[in-house]
Parts: sequence; C-alpha cells; structure tokens
Amino acid sequence: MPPIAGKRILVGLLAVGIPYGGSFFYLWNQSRNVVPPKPRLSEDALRTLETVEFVLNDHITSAEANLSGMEKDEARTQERITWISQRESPYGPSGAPLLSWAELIYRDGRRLESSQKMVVQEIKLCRLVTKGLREGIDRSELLKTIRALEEWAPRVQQTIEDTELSTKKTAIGIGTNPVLLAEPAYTEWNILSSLHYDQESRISSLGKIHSDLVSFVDALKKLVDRSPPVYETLRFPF
Amino acid sequence: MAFAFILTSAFVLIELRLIPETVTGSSTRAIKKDELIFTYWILILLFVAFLHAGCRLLSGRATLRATFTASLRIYAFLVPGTTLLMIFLSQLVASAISTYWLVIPPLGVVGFKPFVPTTGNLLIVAGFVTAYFYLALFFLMCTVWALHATHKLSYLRTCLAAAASIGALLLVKPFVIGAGRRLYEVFEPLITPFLGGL
Repeated sequence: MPPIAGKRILVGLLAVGIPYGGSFFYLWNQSRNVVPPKPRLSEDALRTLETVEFVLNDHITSAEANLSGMEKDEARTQERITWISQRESPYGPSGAPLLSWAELIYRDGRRLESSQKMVVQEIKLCRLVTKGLREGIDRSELLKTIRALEEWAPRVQQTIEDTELSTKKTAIGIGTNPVLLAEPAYTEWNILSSLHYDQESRISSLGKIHSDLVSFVDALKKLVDRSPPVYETLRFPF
Repeated sequence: MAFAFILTSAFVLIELRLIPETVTGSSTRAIKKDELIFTYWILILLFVAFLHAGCRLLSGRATLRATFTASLRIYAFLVPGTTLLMIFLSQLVASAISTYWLVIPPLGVVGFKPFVPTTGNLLIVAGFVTAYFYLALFFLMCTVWALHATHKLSYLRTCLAAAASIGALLLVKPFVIGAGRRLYEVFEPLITPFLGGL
C-alpha cells in the first residue's frame, strides 16, 4: 500500500473517531448526571394532591388502628375458645357448637387481618404515587408502582371476597337459636356474636375502601399519563 | 425558496405523523406544527440578517439583497436536504434505541423520551451525533462559502462573522420563538390553510 493511502486512512479514521469518541464521552457523562425533571403540574393539581395525600395518611392511621383492634378481638376470641374448651366450662351440651363457632370466628379474624394488611399496603402504595407526582418523581417510576397496584388489586379483591364468604358461612354456622340457650351459654353467645358482627361490618367497609382505591388508582394512572412527558434530555443546539 | 419551504414543511408534517400519539401522549397534540415551521423559518431569515450584519461589520461589500439571495439560494437546497436526511437518521436511530425523536428544520432534534443509557444505546446515539456534527459542519461550510463569494471577505473573517451570527442567534432564540408565536397568532388565518393543504 503506498504511504499516502495509509495517511488518508489515518486522517479518515481520526475525522470520524474524534467526533465519535467525543460524542460518546459527552453522552456517557450526561447519562451519569441525569436528574429527572419535575413534571410541571399546576398549582391546583399540586394542592389537590396534597389534600389527597392528607386523606390517605388519615386512612392509613385509621386502618392501622383497626388492625390493632382486630388483634385485640382475636386475643378475646382466643380467650373465649380456651374458656369454652375447658373441661369445667358450665355450658353443657351447648359447649360444643359454641366452641366450633368461636373457632370459626377466630379463623375469620385471621383472614380479616390479612385482608386489612393488604388494603393498608395498597393505600401506602397509593400515597407513594401521590407523593411522587407531587415531588416530581420520573413518570416511568410512578407507572411501575401503578402497574404493581393494578396487579395487586385482583388478589386483594379475592382475599376480601373469600373473607366475606367465610364470614357469611360463619353467620350460618351459628345455627343455634339463642332463645333456646340457657344462661350462661346465652351470654357467651352474645359475646361471640358481637365479635362476629364486628367482623362483618369491618369486612364490608374493607370491600368499599378497596373498590374506592381501585378507582383512585385508575384516576392516578390517567393523571400520570396526562402529565407532560420528559423531552428535555436530548436537545441539539440549532 | 418557496418550493423549499413547502418541501421542508411537508417533510416535518410526514415526520409528525410517523410519531405515534400513544407514545408521546398529549405532547403531540401540544405541538402546533404550523407554528413550529413558521418560527423556524423566521429563525433562518434572522440568521441570514445576522450574517449580513456580521460581514458588513468585518468590511464585507455585498448588499443585504445580495446576502439574502446567496444564502437563501443555498438554503433552498440545504434545508430540505438536511431535514430529510436528519429525519431518516433520527428514525433509524430512534427505532434502534426504542425512543422517538422530532427533527425541526434545519438541524434541530428533540428527543421525546429519554433513552436508556446502556453502552449499546450510547454507541448508536454517538454515531448519530457524529453524523449530525458533519451535517452541521457542511451546513456551516456552505454558508461560509456563500458569504465568502458574496462579500469578498477572507475565510477567517467570514468564519468569524458566521460564528458571531450563530452566537447572536442562540442568544436571541428564546425571544424570537416567543415573538414568532405572537406573529403566528396574527397570521394564523393565512398560514393554516396554506400548511393544512400539505
């Protein structure tokens, strides 16, 4: 190869290599310092998000208080089971149905507790998205959380429905006509039924909270989709 | 020049149709294509005016009319050509790295979605930037040649005038875009049917 051709190849390589290397280094350096730009939400939207976050915080506090109430009810049910199953329990022939009923109530309590925990988790994730929207977390990250919430929702729904069904079965399982029960079995029946009705009302409100959250997640998704996309990362000078 | 204007606008309109609305969401609707094309053509005219002023300051001898004739004669070929090439390259690169870019004539590129900075993606985009660099250089060289021939200035002075004009254009660009929008609002009834027919 004549020496002039070698020189030309070298010049050609340099002419492409220098801008190419420079561009690569510039882009690599940029990619290390990328700070996700904040979505430009209006003042009204920010204020609404703040209010929503406040409401969600309130929901979390009350749901956590409910959880501790459930734990106490479970302890009470466990106490009743121990008492009824004792040999010297004064309930006579009514002891066996009361015991099986108390055991059903205890099982429902455990299910209710896990449903409640799932809903609390759901609310916390919603709060995370709301906070992220407000603080300008990257849209793709928020969408990941929203997708997780959407995937999580049918499982929560199923758990709530199972608990609801089980609570209804327990209501049928009570069977015994309380009027026929003699004291102290009647008082015991009253204690257990109050525990059971608490569970019934809690599971129905839990179902409502969950369905509200599903619509809320849907609204959040629309809001995240509507927020301006990030298109500032690559901008050439001219 | 009018033919170049129509051709370039047509390229941009086709390009805007190539970007799926589902990916860019509301931003595609937010882009007023007519306004965008109008503003960039105003910027080109302003750039030529700056070039003329720069050359005259450095003892250039051509009239404003001569500068406009020489520059716009070159740009009539360069602007549609570079726009088409940039659109082609950006579509190629954007599809390789799964993102969407918008080319704004003559040499503007806006990324809609930040690309994932993997080594492969950086290598591809660096290739695009290199091609962009040479296109911009060619654009500049053509401008310098045209000015050199019209104003009878040395290459050094012509380059200085071109560099000063680019600097001035970058400085006033935000104001020009704002003013362009306002002007567009005034002339919208005239511009929209013209561009809408494309």
